[in-house]
Amino acid sequence: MTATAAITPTVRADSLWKRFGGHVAVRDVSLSLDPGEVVGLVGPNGAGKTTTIRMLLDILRPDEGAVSVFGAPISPQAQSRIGYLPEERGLYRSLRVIPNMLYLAELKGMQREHALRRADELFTLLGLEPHRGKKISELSRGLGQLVQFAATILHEPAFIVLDEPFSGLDPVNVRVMKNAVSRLRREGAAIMFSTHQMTDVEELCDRVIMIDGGAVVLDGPLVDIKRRFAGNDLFVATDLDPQGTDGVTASRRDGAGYAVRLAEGSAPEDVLRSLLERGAKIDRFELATPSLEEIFLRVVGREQAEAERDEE
Amino acid sequence: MRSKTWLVARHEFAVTIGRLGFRIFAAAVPVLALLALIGIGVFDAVRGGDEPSSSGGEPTAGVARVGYVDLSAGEDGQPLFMSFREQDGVVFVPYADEAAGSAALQAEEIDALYVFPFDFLETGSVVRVRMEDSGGGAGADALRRFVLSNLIAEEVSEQQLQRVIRPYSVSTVELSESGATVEEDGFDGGEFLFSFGAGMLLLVSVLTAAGYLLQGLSEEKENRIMEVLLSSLKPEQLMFGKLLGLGGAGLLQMAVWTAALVAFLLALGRIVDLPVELSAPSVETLGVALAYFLLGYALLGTVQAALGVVTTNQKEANNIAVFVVLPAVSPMWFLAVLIEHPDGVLARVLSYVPFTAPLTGLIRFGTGGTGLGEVALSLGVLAVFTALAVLLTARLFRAYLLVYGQRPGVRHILRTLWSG
Repeated sequence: MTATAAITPTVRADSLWKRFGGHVAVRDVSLSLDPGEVVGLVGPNGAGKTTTIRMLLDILRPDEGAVSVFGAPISPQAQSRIGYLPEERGLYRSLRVIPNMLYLAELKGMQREHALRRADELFTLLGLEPHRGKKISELSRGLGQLVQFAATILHEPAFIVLDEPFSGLDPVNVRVMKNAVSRLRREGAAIMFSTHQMTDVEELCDRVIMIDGGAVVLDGPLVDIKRRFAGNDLFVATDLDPQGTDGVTASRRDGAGYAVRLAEGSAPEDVLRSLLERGAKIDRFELATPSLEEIFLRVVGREQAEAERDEE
Repeated sequence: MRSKTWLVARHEFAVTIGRLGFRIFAAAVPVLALLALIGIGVFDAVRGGDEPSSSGGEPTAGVARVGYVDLSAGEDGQPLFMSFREQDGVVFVPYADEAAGSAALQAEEIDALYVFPFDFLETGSVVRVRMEDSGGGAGADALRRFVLSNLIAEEVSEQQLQRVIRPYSVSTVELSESGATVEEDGFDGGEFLFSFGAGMLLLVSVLTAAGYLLQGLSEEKENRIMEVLLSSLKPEQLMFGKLLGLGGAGLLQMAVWTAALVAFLLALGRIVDLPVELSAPSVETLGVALAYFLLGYALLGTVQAALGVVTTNQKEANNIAVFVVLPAVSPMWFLAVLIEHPDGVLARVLSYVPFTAPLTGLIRFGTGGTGLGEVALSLGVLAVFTALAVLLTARLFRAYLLVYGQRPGVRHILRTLWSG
């Protein structure tokens, strides 16, 4: 018999509710992140992502529900192990890079000497060395963003929240930051990654939490979600048009193959068998999984339609 | 782990004293005082520092030796100025004739030479000889004492001589309706000038520090660093840290200004004759000034912080801050009344209104219009009100630090203040 050691989630939220006046911003949100996990928090504007993040970080108190970080209610000690890069970025523009970073690091409980050493490492990692003596006001938006990212991870946090981290960055710096995120994950940090760029989520995240209307509408590993939304579509690279094959309702040319829609109740293996029986030469046969963006549009569109129907 | 409040305080202090504007402003008072002293000194020298004055004063600073040539003769035919050659630290050195005195003057052995002519008794004329473009001369009071002492010291008693030199000193006794009498404390010009000056500087310093607080908060809200800060500390820690740090900067500014003011007043008294006696401020006055500064700053800073939180940008915050600044400076409008009737109803009322208490209290204390007991009561009221302001502002911090772009309504603010 094998025993599975229980992993304490880095962060866990149970049934969070937050209201602002009569508006319910977050309703019954529960989620958790494990060490070394990168989770994408996605949702349309106004869905409640930022409010949820603020409650996870103890910037806002939930009206109902509870948050635990590192296995306990959030405390000053826990705060010192959290890094937060908010969507609306800002540093002290009249201060130079190093004093900005040192101040934020000291607020996280770091000693100045340690912070300086760590800043040197990060400057090298992120290519910021030439800019360390500059004032924030002298930096471009992208460089300022990299400096703030460096300040976010300077104290080696175990839980990191990155809200739209790549917006405004050029492709080179996006790659630099993505590499840094991957490195942090390897080092065991739990990373929550909020963005509207679904391709970034697909590239970086193990799991996706989709929020809409203040509630969680999807939560699961990316692979499972994609499989769930795969539906009845196939991609077949073949020399024979699958139209007319048993179990196929529609087929259209798609690059080097065909996009095939299965009939209700048909299984992909039945179609494969029928195609082979028809003498088709098949180079590729796969379930066509939708992109996360397509899933997002389907889920959010459906939610919106339901909300509109409820209003009617 | 070091206190986050302390870290915020240290950061705010360092950032504030690093501002060029702060440094210029802090240095302005000492520089202006120095320039004023130089200007007054030059003017006094040009005008002639030996004009008789109606009241006492110290001799000109730095003048230790002046010469004189006594060509006069009394009724007995003897020279008039043979004694009392040290007056208020000034040594009067006799010379046989003007040529010898002039030679000593040119040799810089003396700073000036006074020639008493043979008909001095009839005319009172004295000729002062000094080097070109120099301000040398005995202080007016020293010369007056030297002349009077030689003329009449042998004719009158020492006490009569002092009364001739300084005829009287007035103190006031007030009779109440019940017949009780209250002796007023002697009016100490130095205390008053210090208190009034300190009051003004306190106000400027408090408003400057509170203004920086408002500016900093507005900046942090506008550039969105607030959210990062709040992921590391509590709103209350941020508020107290800012109050402490900027209060420290304000206190430093106040200390520089106070030292400059004290030095200016003391030096002024040595250069020119003032209509009041000047002395260094007492420990009580310094203590009262410090207490009013600390509490006055805490109150105004807290209220300014509250404004910074509930407004959307610095411009808007500055516009509303006028309603805090005006009451704080309002005692200046009643300055004449406060000086004339420091124990009057208006003075008493303003001493207990938190926003007007710091300036009023200092002016009243300086004029002797109030005792330490009443000052303590005024400070007590100020402290209680300030504590209440801190409590309420902490509620606003918790509620509105992350509200961007829109100002909460008055009713919403009141509800937050009430319910937390």
